[in-house]
Amino acid sequence: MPITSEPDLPIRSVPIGGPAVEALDRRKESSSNPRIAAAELRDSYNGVKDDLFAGIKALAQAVSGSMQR
Amino acid sequence: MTGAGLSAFYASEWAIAERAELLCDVARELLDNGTLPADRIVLREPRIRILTQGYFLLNKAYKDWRIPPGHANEKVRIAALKAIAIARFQPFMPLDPTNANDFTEARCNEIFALVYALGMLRCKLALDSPGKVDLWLRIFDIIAESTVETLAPFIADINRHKQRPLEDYALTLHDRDKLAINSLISIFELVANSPDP
Repeated sequence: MPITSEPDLPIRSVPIGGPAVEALDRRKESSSNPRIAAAELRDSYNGVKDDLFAGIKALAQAVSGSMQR
Repeated sequence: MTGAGLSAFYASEWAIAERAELLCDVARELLDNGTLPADRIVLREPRIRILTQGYFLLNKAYKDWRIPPGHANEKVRIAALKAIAIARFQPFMPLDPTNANDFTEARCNEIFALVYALGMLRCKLALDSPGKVDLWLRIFDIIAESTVETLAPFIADINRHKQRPLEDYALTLHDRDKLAINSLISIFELVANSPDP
């Protein structure tokens, strides 16, 4: 059985290499959307910006309270 | 950088200008509406064009690593790459960077990065439970600690006032950047697909 009775010290980071690791690093992810235009990004941003500003202000207030504790 | 110098780069001069203009508008709004304190933080606006160029170089390196040839990048990936590019080029700076006295000074660039990223993903920043504060602060930490080693040659040239056409850079994604990029892409993917992030 591939079980040892020793902890195989010292504990150190042993990089695992080989073709499977190389293949994992070389893998491609799926990406099939069309190119995104700046106008689309601007529309998305404009749709939520007020909520984002409010969220950041609320977060700053919450953090301010916790920093004073 | 001349328009002719950029003509062979995958992102046109026009695309770079458009993205930089949007970033400038977001940055100015953060100051104008008081989200960032205009009396304590400076916006170094010319950096936004430089960071936009840096973003396109980083995006190219990322796509060469993970995206099939000829495919465009998706919004969550763009949001992550843009966020760490913003943090790396630090367009905002507190007047006294050694003495940040509140959250907005301490995380001014990360706030810009997250507002831009969530905005393009059409996501809100909800704080409906104590855990959400910790969640967002953790995301700010990840953005702040991403060093973007990939762009070191480009940044070195900028610092030497040596302008090279962007297509001259053949940058491969630095191993140290992969964790931050993968982490942020995963986080933005989860946030974008959550009904109430």
